[in-house]
Amino acid sequence: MTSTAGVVSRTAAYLLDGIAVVTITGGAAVVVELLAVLAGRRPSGLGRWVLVAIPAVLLVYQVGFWALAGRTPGMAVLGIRMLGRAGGRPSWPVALIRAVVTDLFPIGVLWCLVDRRHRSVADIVARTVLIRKE
Amino acid sequence: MNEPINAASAAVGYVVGQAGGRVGAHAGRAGRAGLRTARQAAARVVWLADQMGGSRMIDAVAHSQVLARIIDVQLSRAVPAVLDQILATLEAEPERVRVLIRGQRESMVDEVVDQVRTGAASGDAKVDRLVDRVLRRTEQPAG
Repeated sequence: MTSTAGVVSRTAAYLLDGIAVVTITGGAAVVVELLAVLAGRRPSGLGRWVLVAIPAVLLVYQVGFWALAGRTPGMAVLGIRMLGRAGGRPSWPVALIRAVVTDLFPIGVLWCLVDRRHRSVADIVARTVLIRKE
Repeated sequence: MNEPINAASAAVGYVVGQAGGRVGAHAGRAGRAGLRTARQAAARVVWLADQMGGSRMIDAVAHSQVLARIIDVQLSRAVPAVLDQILATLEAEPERVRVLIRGQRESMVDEVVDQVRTGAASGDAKVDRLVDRVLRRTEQPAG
């Protein structure tokens, strides 16, 4: 039985993915800085760039997982999956468009509250749908 | 040993025979009396059990200090031996332990994930109902 994912599931999945990306990016920056210090170099100040890098890493993360698996790890935990227009996994361009719209306009998820098919702004632009697999 | 039996020997034999018969009779009476006493004791125990009620009797036995001490002593002797055997078995077959731990961990993770999914789905439904009420929207029939 399948149904479309609502705003709570989408937001929870997005937050889980955000936590994962922040952890991965921050952890990588800390490791690089520690290695630099252990090698006897001065700290490179990489931490300042983490804030800039996080949105880019999130974009790459979303596009990669959506195009390759049809869902991110956060979506997998929530049991939701993205379908493209043909009903299968979204293509790379579709995943890229959806990721850009989602990250630039995250509040667009609220549109699924008033949309009868539970589509967010990103879903409408990329012609995708998020379903819950039970 | 083919001596002729004289009157004195016959008389002694008669007396010894009588005495043996009496001793045997006494012993039989004592045995019967002991058996009767044991039967009476058993009957008294049964009567006591009836008087106290079966469950109260069992409770009394189960909560008795003596029984508890017996069990403690037996456990203190048996548990280390059994534990050593179990640990030796587990040490010899670590794959079984790994499978058990893995199964336990997976079931815990599955349970948490199920709870998260159920909670999210429930939240979606509640938000939808709330929005429908606010927008005074009625559900359309499917299709």
